[in-house]
Amino acid sequence: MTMRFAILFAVLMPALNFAQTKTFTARELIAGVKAARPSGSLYARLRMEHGGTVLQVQVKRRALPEGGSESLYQVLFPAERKGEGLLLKARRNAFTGATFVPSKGVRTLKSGDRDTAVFGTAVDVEDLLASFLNWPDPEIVGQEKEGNIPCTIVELRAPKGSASTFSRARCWIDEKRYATMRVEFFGSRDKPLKTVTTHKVIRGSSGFYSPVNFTVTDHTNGSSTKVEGVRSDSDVTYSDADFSEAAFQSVTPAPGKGG
Amino acid sequence: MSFTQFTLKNLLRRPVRTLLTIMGIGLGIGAVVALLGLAWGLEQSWAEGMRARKTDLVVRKSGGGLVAQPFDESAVGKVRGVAGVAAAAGLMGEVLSVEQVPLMVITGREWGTFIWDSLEVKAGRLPAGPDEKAVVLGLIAAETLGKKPGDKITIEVEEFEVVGIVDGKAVVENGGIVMALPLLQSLMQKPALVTFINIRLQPDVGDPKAVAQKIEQELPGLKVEIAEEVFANSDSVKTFQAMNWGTSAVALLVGTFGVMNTMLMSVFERTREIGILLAVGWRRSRILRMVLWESIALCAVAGVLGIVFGIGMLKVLSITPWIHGRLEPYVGWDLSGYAFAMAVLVGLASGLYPALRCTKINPSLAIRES
Repeated sequence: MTMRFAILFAVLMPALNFAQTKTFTARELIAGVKAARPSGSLYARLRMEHGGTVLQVQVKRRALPEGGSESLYQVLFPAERKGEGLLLKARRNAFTGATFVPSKGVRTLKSGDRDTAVFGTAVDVEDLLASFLNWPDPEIVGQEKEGNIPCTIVELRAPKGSASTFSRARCWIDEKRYATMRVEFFGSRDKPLKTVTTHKVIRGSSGFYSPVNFTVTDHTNGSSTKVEGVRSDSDVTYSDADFSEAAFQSVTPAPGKGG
Repeated sequence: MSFTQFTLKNLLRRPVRTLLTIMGIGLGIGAVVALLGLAWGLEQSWAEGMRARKTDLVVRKSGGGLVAQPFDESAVGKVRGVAGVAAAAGLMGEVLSVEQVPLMVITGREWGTFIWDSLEVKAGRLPAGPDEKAVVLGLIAAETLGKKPGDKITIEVEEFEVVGIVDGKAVVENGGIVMALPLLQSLMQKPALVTFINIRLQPDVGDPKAVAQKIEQELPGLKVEIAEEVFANSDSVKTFQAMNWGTSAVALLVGTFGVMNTMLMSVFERTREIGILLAVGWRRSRILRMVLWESIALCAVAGVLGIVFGIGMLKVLSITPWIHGRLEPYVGWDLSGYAFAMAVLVGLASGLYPALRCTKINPSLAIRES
């Protein structure tokens, strides 16, 4: 009698466990990932390693009153490249921007320049915009472990008329932390054109988790860039001057925090 | 043949099995040595740094994490006024990515205080004053960055001149960059803030903890600790140590069961022989000692091999970029002795059950059945 009860219990336990686990929809997962992305003002320092070259980069970002964000990326090291910059103003799937190289001046980015490499690395403007998160009708296509982390795979397809360089994206999402542990981008074929693999996720002061170490691999040319977060400060106070043409063409430190 | 020779000969009957068991437990002991060597090395590096700076007490913000939180530098002046305090110095510590190096410790030190005294100039000079946009590099930091006096170094958005290379007398000192406090405060946009106060006590202070308590009463929200204990008291270090102990315990438990299995197999194979020994007059206690000695001898050899393996791993780890310049793994006789003692204990624990099984053998049944 005891043995039968034990067997029944062992069979029922997984079912009971399953019943207690919440199942997220694809929309909920994508909404969670979007909510976890820093939305206010931010200052960050990054270390990028590409093809043996190390770049130290600073990032200034602020939310815009009309929606969207404005970001300024600038190279701090090596000395011969200090001052190279990328300015992006993004709102949903549209963007305006410009690049700056001290010896060459400012070049305005057109809407078709989404594949512009950031400082010659495997990261491009499309990666910074992360517009795939706004694509409609996400769909859960599987469950898989990425590293040791159980993930739900969500697939998104670019809508008709999308300016994105990709037509499809697959995200491996850690449901517990709403963190994308891996993202694969596809063109018309089934082989990914680009992969972003997250190595480390940390919990910020907002309580949300953010990837801080990740590798971007461009499968079209076999290049890869390792991006490591060095430090970040949230709720910094920026003014229009911090994103002006003058600021774009000179390197200034992070402003103080909001009062 | 002596009892010891008889015991050891039993181990050589199945040399491959014995060797594999030794390797298994040896790997476990090696892992324990490597983990403890790193943990003790970390603590020792910190303590050496404090001794080098001749610091008796350290003030930091309550919270216990390894990453110190900044607080107002006016606290330094208040600390100087406490009885028993001979000198106090404000510091800011940051861990940043500098040029091609992923992580480097940078300290901003209050100008004109004793924490500059411990830096022995090996090349160049110290900064001329708190406003000079200059840094000095520890010996290991200079080697890692490939810099010498006169070179420029980019830290965050600013460029500094390397004016000197110094020997800080401790790995944690030599692996970092040192500048005047106001420079680092400005660089990090943290004006008038510090993350530590180093305190040197009067020579006649008998009880440092009493002075520490007085300072804590003067400055609520701040914690004062004996300098060499700061590291060991941090929550992050305690967590790291708990993880080390946990991993080591699992490794040793797995090894224990492995050795127990080997000893049980050995005993089962020798049931007839043990029956004969009992029949010719061996006492059961002697049989028990024989099996226990076999198990202990097996684990003692494994322990020695494991210690060699663990030390080898530590040497390799010490040259990796994540460890080099940040800490010196600890390799000492006490660590080896500790690991050897654990190996012997594993031998004792794993041999006990097989030994007790032996003592229950019925000689006549054992001889007849075999």
